[in-house]
Amino acid sequence: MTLKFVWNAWNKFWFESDGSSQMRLFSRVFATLFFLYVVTRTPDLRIAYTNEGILPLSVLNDFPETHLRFSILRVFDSIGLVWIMQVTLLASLLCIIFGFIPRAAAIVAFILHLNFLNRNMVMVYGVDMISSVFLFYICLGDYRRTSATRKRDWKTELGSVAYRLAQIQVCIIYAFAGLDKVKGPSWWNGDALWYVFFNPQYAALDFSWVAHFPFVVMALTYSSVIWEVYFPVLVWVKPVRYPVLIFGVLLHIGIGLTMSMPSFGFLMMCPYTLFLERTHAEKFALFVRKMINPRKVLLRKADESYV
Amino acid sequence: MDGKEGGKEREDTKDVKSGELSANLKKFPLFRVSLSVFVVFHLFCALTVSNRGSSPTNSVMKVVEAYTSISGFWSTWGFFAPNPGPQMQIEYQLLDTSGNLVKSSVWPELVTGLSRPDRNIRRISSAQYMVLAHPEAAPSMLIPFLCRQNPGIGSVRLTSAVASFPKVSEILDGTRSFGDDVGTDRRSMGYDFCPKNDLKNETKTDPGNIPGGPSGPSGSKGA
Repeated sequence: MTLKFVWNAWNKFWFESDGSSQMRLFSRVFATLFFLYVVTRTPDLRIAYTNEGILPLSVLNDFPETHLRFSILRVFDSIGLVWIMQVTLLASLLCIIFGFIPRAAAIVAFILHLNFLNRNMVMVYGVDMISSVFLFYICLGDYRRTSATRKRDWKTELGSVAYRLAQIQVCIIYAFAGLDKVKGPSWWNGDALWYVFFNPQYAALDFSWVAHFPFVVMALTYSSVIWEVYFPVLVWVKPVRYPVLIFGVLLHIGIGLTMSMPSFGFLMMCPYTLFLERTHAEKFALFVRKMINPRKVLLRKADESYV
Repeated sequence: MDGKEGGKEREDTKDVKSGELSANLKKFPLFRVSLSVFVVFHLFCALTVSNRGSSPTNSVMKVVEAYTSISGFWSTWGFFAPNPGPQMQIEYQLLDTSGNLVKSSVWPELVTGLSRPDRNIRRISSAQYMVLAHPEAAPSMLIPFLCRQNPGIGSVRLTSAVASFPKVSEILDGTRSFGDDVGTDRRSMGYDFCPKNDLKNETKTDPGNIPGGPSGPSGSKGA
């Protein structure tokens, strides 16, 4: 009896979730942001991914932790190939954005992104890591329109799993980000953000003035750790879900402004769409579509099932 | 598909949901079981790799690393943890073939202000952190690169510089300021000639004659 209950609950959570609208919205917003990010690295292609750059293959192969990380660029050193891959990656991201063969496009984007990532682990930061993880889930998503005539099939089930895994991945990211911080004395003392504000490599501007407001720094430090640690629990509690997400939006906007990391901030906020109610996700998608092309939306008479 | 149709379809789907759904899904038990195994394995790997270094995870790390390396899930997510990193940078000196100082700067160049693009603040800066984390590889990475970026240079000297953070009281009483150089810990990371094909001028100088060269003092602290 208990086993049956657990199995049913497991099935309901993983295979019967109705997150297709959220996944469609997420995949498009994510692909748009990642597209912009990939565009900004174009001037650095030679420096980052060829032997003329900062990481020649002869040096890369000395890093033992990289032996399983395959990249075609570790076999062929060619700026031409790098350009082909860059353009193909951008094209596949455009396909996801416009909903044209999104799953196939996501698989291409994921493989190409991993090839770039594995060629130069030195020039990798949070955005690259988050992108590889979420592209993986986007590959599994179900992006078909809702249809009464269509029975649920393996694509629906896989899409449901992708939706749940993506949600849980957000929780894993915040849980480990928070719990790792708890190990650090500066986060316990409440002055960790002081070190961030006062590091010219992080801070966008001279934040010396924050020295006059030590309690504000302390409050911001504690609140960000507490929020990260409790996010994985609170985001599943419906009454507090939206306040938790709003705090996250404010936190990432703050990081983006003070530390000039817009890509990271927006990409971290992007998976919040996975936690929206279905109707809210659809309204949000409709709002975005109206902003982009109001005439087309009017002609379609706001088909809410299409995101 | 127009709006009306879409709306109708949604209603229909809701009706289908509860009853027929379970019946339809029973057709795929093997698929579900396979997916369940994948979900458990995937989550196990995602959690284990994030907790890399703990003793219980060491025994399974080979399998986990194989999977996460291939799937791109190898990040540990410890942003600014356990503490925000210090201000570290790589300083370099470019010397001509006679050993004279041509240029002294930091890599990558520090760009401040709200308008600085992402690539300067993070992508290339993250490269700097990785280089500092692997100082043994720094000369073979950066010296040929800087030589290519600066044609005609004979040799390059690399130094790591770790700045000390001021206390709040030091800022308030004016003894320290934003981005100052007080208490910076400098250590030699290496010195070498440019690779031959990067040399425009073939005249070479004995590195021993260059202060701080390979045979000179290395590992200097606070220089």
